[in-house]
Amino acid sequence: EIHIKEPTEKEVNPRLLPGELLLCEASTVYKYIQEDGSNRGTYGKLICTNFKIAFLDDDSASDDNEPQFKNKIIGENDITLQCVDQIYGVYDEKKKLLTGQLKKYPEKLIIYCKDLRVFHFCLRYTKEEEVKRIVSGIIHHSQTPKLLKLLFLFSYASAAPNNAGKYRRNQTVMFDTLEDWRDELERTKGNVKYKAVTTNEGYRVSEKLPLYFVVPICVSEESILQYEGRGIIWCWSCHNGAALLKMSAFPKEQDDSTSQMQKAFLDGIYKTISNPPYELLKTDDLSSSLPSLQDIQTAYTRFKQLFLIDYSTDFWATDVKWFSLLESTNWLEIIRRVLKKAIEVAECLERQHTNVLLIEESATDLCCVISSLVQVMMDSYSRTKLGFQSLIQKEWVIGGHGFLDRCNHLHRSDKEEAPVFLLLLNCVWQLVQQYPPAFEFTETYLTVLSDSLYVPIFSTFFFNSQHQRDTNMSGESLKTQSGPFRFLTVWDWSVQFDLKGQAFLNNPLYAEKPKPDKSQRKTARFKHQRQLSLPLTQTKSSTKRGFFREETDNLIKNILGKRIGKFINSSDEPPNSFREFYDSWHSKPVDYHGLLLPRIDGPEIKVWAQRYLRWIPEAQLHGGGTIATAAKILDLMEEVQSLQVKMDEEHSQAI
Amino acid sequence: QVPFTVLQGEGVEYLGHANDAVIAISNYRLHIKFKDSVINVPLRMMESVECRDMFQLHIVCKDSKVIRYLCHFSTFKQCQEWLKRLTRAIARPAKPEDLFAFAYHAWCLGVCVDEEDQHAHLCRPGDHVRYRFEMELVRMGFDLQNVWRVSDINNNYKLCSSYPQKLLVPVWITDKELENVASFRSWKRIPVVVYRNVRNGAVIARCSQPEISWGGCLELVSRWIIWALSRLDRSVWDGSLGSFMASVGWHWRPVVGEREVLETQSVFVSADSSLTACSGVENAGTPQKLLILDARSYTAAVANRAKGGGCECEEYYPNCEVVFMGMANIHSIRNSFQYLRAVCSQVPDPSNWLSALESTKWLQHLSVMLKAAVLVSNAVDREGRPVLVHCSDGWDRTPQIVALAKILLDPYYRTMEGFQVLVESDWLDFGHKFGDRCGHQEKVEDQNEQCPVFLQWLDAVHQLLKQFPCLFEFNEAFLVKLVQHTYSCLYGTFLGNSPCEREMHNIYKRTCSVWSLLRAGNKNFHNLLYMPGSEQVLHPVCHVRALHVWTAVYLPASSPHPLGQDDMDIYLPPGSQSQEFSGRCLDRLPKTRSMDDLLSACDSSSPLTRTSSDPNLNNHCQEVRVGLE
Repeated sequence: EIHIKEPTEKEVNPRLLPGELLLCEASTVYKYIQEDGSNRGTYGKLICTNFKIAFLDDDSASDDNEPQFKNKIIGENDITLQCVDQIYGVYDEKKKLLTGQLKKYPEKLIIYCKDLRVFHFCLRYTKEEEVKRIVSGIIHHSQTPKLLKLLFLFSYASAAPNNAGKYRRNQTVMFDTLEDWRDELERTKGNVKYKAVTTNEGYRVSEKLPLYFVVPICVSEESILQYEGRGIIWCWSCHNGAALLKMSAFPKEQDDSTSQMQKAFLDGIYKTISNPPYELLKTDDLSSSLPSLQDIQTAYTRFKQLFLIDYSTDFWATDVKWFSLLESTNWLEIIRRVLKKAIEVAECLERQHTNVLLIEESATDLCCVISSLVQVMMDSYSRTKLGFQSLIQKEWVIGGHGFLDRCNHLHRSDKEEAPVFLLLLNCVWQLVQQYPPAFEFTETYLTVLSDSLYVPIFSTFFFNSQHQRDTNMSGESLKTQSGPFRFLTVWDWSVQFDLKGQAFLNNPLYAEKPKPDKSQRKTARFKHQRQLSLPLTQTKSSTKRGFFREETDNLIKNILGKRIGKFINSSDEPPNSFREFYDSWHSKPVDYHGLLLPRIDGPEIKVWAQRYLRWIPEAQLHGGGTIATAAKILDLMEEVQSLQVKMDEEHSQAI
Repeated sequence: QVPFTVLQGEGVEYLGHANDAVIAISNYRLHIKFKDSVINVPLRMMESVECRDMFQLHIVCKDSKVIRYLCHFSTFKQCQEWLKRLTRAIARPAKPEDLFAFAYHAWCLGVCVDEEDQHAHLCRPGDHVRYRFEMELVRMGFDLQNVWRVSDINNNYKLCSSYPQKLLVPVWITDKELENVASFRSWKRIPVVVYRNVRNGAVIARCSQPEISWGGCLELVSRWIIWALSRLDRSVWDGSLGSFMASVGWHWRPVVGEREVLETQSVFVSADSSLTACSGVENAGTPQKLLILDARSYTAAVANRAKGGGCECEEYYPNCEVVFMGMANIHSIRNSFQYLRAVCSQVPDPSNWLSALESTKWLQHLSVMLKAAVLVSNAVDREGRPVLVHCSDGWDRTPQIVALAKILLDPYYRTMEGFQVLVESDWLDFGHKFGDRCGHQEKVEDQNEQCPVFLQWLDAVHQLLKQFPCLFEFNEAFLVKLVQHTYSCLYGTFLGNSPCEREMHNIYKRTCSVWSLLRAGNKNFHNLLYMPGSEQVLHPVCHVRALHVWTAVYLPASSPHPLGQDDMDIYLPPGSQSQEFSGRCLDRLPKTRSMDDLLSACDSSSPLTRTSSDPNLNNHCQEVRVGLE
């Protein structure tokens, strides 16, 4: 008997990370395998730590079939505290949302996760004391407001200082040094007209801005200081010299003189930047041309509800109405509008050789989405894994997207929550599934990346800005040893996956850029530019100048908060110029290393099935689907490679 | 100057100019050449032509394409003239010989001296198709000594004109009894066995609905057949008939709960509850009840009683379970298809694509068909139960379910040869009325008989291909071509309504077979991801969420890759490709569009093709000629 018991005893011991503390636990919890009404499930222990909620299966047999693709940090039955979306209690067959203090403890606990898993735990057989402790513990640690310093990130970093720093910079560009920005300028040939500035060292200009950033060469340090860094910030330069820029809108000023000053300042900027060597400037106020963050949050909340399915009967019941349900969430429509906007911007840059200035209140939400998408579409480097990661660093992490607030990691304010980064990943996924050979990474990569938003051992998605990260880096306020924390970056995929798992992130069908000798490539590139630039600007330039003045005025009015009428978007173009650009691009064969435009017609915008349907048993394909295909393709590629090796050998022998 | 290469036996009848294009009508196709694009549609592919906005032709195709803004004519009269010509050209033929397949075949033969040889070479499908009946008997391991026999009762189609001549029935049922049975099944389509699972001996049989109007429970013999079926291989398997007989009980379990619900909704209920019901049955010991799958809904089946049809009552059939699938009839499917066509022709207006798609119900219908097939395959594979499938006449929904279930169960039908055998035996031999359903039957003008039943089934196969991309030997292009040539009438395979009719008109000898194009040797239709040797039974997901609109067929305009030089490499033989055999090709192969015809795809100078005829036969002829020289 003892021999039989021993392994199960071992099994129940939770596997804790460095710095992870067991806070509370409850035994003989019954976890339903799938809520199909059959009540099948397993008994086990439910625990809550300062990192995760976990269910430890009493039955060790379940370890037999290890999945091929497995996360080293988060197990199948682990839910990080940040991953918990909502917790419901079931009282007499009635579901009730659980928050704050409870008077009565439920007999069943349903946990909805942000990665769309749904857990059903039955507490009927658990001791009352333990139920009280575990339920209130889980709710307290996952649902109530928290201090930043209490994030597991810090305990992990202080307990496992040796883990960090393994990730060398020769991989993803982190954009936390001046060199990184200079390299990027050089790479995009933007260094002729733009420069990286050090004005914000020590965050003396603004805490919202990164330490280093890029501005037009003509902008002086004084003006940056004077206007607290408000002004044009460079994102990326197109091969033809046109640049993608961003700017946060000025707040509404009551004071007339201040607003006058601001007007003068902007006037000055526009004047300099509209003269050669700069291209014409077109502005796009994203807060009026795209859905609001509130709309996006509402749409996503409705959308994800379609996949948080309690019972399989619900799954079948909703299946008949699936498409209209989907449409009513508006989520796909938002994706379409965002993609369309990105195409419009790409058209300006590519075809009209116009600089595009994106404007948004803080320039850290939809600006990030659009600028990232434009770069993914126009810059094939952003479609490599490292390129994409560098892009996320540049536009989002260093760019100052408020991950902490937008993901509501600290449960401080629900109002700030909006799935902006998820929106980007959803848009990029559309491109990935439309043009798989153009991307070095797979949809699995995107799915895993979206899951990593909720894993608080990486600093990447747990700060609002570079400033916030830097000021919290120093371990002074904690009692632990001195010296700054060294956080892990999510881009070190070896932390989460072994080599076998990491293979699933790479697209074996990626059409790698052919590498001919340099002289050839240069001419090819030149030709490419000529092909793409249509002789449009020459004939129209005079009218454009006129327009530009008008637009500048409009722009200034707009930025100063005195919006008069609807902001003009590409109003000088015939309305079908977008369509014409879109159609003409799609009528030509795809160059996987060139400009890539997503198809946005109705049937083309799809649901990211891997992310959203992966936990639903009814939707699983045994022996089929993308995983089987990927495995087969990997096999084939291996075979091709080995044949290639053989051929090379034969060849060399023949010689 | 005719702007295209004519096929053998093709003659241009009208040639003229519109404002911006050259327009030509031959006895096979309509061809319009614009400056940088081409519209190329086989005449028989067109369902209707009308003139809109005075100067515009509006063509609706049977495979759901809608061609608008076709051609701008300078005068109204000119447009009317072409409209008249087209209308005349697409009218139903007066006699089968008017179909282009005959002319084409005759001319193909004319090119060659040795007619017999040429016919065999060019037009005949392989031996696997010709001797399919015998080969299938062996392959599926039918015991023709003790359990089964091949009845010749339908020699010369004297019993049932829509059935094949050779029928596979239980050995102890005499022809006399079969004749008796026939009088109780509509169109005399008696229960016949079409599949046997080699592993557990469970069989699939098919028939038409019983005719109850002949008087209540008179259908004794028919019932007896069903009963015999239900124990046939089982008795061999169990080894003890006696104990089996003793254990036969009277089971009546209502499977369909909500009969009053709308058809499409009730489907889900009935299908699912029966699925779970089945899974509860233990495989060991207890005898397996025969599953009678009625493709219709219960209400529709009962309604058929008024017309002299009906359904099995479990009271009369001991040891049977009747499940109603609630699949819609051809009229609903036709409506659904017309909606789908309308919705697809509205793209790229994206505003309400999803709800519009839902309102067509096309995917919902597909979902039901897949569910029915899964039900059959689970019964056979997991529980070793015999299954009898029927609908009303047993030539529309029945072949859909049976053939799909066979694909799920048997990897052979996922090979190119096996798929050909499947289409030949389950669709053509058992009298799916291709002539009527596709609208190229002579003289008949009844639109009510038209329905894309076969296309719908191909769509379901396409869904399976999408879900199991490594388990089919053929690729999507294969299916797309099959759709085209179901309607093009370039090949004789899908002409006529039954094997009897095809024999009467000697179609086999006077036309080419579509399999000569879609032959296993044609590398263009090979799935490079295919894993041969997999014995896996497919368990597809059938919910609407998982189904895709078949863009390559219904939405070719928005389908991924426009033709151009870039697409060429797909069609190049592997030898001519450089060592840069990158994954790109692998990935793009299945995305082949419907309109690409292989010839022009290889010809880089040819402009965009909007819709295709099939000139690859030109290719083929040349190939043959070269071979003969």
